[in-house]
Amino acid sequence: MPPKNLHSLNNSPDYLELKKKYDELQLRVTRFSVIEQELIHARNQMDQEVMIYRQMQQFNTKALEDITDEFYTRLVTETLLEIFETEVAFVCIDIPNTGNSALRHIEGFSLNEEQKFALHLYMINLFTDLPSGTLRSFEPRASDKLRTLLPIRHLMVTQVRDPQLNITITLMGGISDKGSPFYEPIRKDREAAFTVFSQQVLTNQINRFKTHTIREQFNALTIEQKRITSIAENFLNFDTNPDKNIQRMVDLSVQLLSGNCSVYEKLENELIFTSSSYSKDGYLNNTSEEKICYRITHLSGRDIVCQQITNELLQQHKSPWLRQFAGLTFLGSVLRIDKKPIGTLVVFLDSSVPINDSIFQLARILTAAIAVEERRKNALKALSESEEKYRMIFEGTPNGIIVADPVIQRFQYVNCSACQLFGYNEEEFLNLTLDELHPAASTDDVKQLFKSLEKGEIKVAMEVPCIHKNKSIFYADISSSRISIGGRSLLAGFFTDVTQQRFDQQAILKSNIELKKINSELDNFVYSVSHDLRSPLLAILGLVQLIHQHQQSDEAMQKYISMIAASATRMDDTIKEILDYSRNARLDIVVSPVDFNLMIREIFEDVRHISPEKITLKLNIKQDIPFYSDSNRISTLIKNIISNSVKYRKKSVNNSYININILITSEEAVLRFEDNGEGIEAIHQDRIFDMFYRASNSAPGTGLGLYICKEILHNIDGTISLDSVAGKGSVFTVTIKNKTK
Amino acid sequence: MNKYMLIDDDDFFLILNKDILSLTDPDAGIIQFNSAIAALDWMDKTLQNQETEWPENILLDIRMPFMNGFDFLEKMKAYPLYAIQKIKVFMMTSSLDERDFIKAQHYPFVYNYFTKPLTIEMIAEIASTEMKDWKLESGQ
Repeated sequence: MPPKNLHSLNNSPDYLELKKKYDELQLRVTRFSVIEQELIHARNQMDQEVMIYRQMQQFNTKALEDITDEFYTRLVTETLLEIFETEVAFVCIDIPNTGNSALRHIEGFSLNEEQKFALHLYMINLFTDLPSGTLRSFEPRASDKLRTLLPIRHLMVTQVRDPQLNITITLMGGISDKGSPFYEPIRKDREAAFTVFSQQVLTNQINRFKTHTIREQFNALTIEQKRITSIAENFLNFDTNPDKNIQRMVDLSVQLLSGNCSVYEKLENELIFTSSSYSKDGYLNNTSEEKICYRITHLSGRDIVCQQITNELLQQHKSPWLRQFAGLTFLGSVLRIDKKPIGTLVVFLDSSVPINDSIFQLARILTAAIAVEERRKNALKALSESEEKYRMIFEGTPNGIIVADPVIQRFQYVNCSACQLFGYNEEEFLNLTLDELHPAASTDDVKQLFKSLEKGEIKVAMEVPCIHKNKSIFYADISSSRISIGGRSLLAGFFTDVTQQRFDQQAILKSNIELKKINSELDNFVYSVSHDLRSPLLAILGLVQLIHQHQQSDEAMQKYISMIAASATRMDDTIKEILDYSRNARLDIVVSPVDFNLMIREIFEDVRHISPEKITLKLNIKQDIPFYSDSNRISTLIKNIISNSVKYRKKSVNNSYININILITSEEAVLRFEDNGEGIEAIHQDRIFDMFYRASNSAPGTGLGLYICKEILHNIDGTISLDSVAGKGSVFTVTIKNKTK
Repeated sequence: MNKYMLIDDDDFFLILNKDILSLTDPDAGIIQFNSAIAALDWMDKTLQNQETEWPENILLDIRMPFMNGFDFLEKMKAYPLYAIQKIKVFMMTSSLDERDFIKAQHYPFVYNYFTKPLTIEMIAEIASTEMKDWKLESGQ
């Protein structure tokens, strides 16, 4: 700008005006530029704040990840360094409840654990009695204790607490001397962000803690679950042998409780189970060890005890065996059955294994499981003894036993006697049905019998027909009873083979009937014979009585004496007939040639005198070949027939005769006796051969004659038949077998 | 006069009994049969025609052919009571069988049971045997 006009300009009102305006403008520009500066500054600050919060956001994201405590503390300190542009960052986290030592980390400077602890302590002291979230920013004096640990000039430190979880977090950022002379204290405007950040660290820590707790609980649950699963698996896969299960429980106890060794010591005998063989051998080698586990447990006065195996304890019990477990934890649990101690389960644990309720619980469960097995073992022993007893009875009895389920209508058990009885093997038998055991015809009867048995109407079903496998029928007496096996109501049938018995019984019955008949015949025989023998005797007695009377005439005396003689003869005749009968029954048959002609003539000579009147005999024999038979018996036979003809002749006629025709062949002899006697009335004809039957009273007799004839013919293979008309005469036809052949 | 009816299939006993009866009681009226059938026939006729001939004492043998003593007693039951009331039956037997003795007791008109032979003592006993009071008997 040219200067010449300056003065004039300077003084001109326009100029002044202009100058004024210019100054104003100048001022404004300056003001704007300040504002601009401020705006720029603000914008930068804003940018930084955004950066800080973005970084915090990043921190949060990373912190939420599943990271270790070390990584977390490092993340905190690194973030702190980055955001707040400090040289040193330190964090310490106290979580007293967990029992873990506090977490401490320093970034930007190196400190050992001891120094970190000292730093931690220093920080805690800074906030004594101050509320959570208090922020302190200061330059420590040169004499400050902090300066011996860290070479820092300025620090910003805050402490945040969660009273509920008792978490205390202390965060520190510091600027060191190293930056001098360009040292600049931490900017004031970062204080708010620092507080926010510390709150975030606390929140994250709380989350971490909670997550951790949940995870721990979850892990604990998982372990518990694994243990329970393991026990359950073992329970499910239980062996039938209780000893094996006990061994498994012992093994399982060491496994589940992470022990070194487990021992199950039984009180009643020397037998012990262990999860490892060395401890067992040691135990058994020294009798002084006896019941050591029980002694230790018992001493505590409780059923479950957990204690360290100290030198003191070892000295107290003086057990070389126990010495091998020195320093371990003795976890012992007493086994009881019905309150009575029977043994002790002991697990030797490393002292590092935490003892908690869960461990005790497990020990109790395992102990109980072993107790169950012991109880089962006792029961099994008792069972096998009684089972053996019953098996011996079941299999040993000669009675067939069949056990059936009435609901499903199947056989459940059969003993070997039943198998033998029916001829099936056990397998075949169990597939049979009731219908197959009895004949189809009697199935309904059998079912009815079973119903009666069940109702108790009868105790035994007698002689029930049964079918053998080979289709033969046998008879059994069956009794039954309701039995309960495994909660099922079953029906047991007891079969006694009575086939032979039945056969014998029937034979006995038959022979009994025969015997009765014989007995009655004999009775009748004795009755008749005694009568027939006594009668003449009694007659003689009566006659003698008459003779004794003094007033008897000689004529009368003669009559009585002849009557006595006749009575005696009658008695003798009776005795002879009985002898004939007995001879036929008793003597062996003697076969010899029979001379009918001679025999008949001799007999006729003997008997003709019975009749005072004359009797004619006509004998006609046709014989080409010899006839063989028993002569004595035939003689008795013919004598009886001829004497009957003589005795029962018709007394009203005087031409009585006997015509005898004999025809002899190689087969037989046919003898025909014909008379013109009094004959036999039709009503008597069927019975005249019966013992003692008398068809006529016209002559004395025993009624034995024709009976003896019939008996003789029975013995020598012959027959006799009668053809008679009362009042006209009789024809007896006799056939006798020729014994030549 | 005591009337006797003798029934026995054995002629010897008929003779014997008749002789001893005649000896002991010469006034005795004696009628004899060698079969129970013949005796019944006679009784039937007598009952119808000549009641006065009705026997008082019957000496009855047990063991006889066709109709034995018990069969005879059974037939006797058919007679009217007034006729039976007048008869005393005495069993005469050679049997020692107790069953016969017991059986005989079932007949109210059988008064006694004797074992053969007939003796003088028996005849006295028969003579002294009182007739039953049948009203009492039937009233029971």
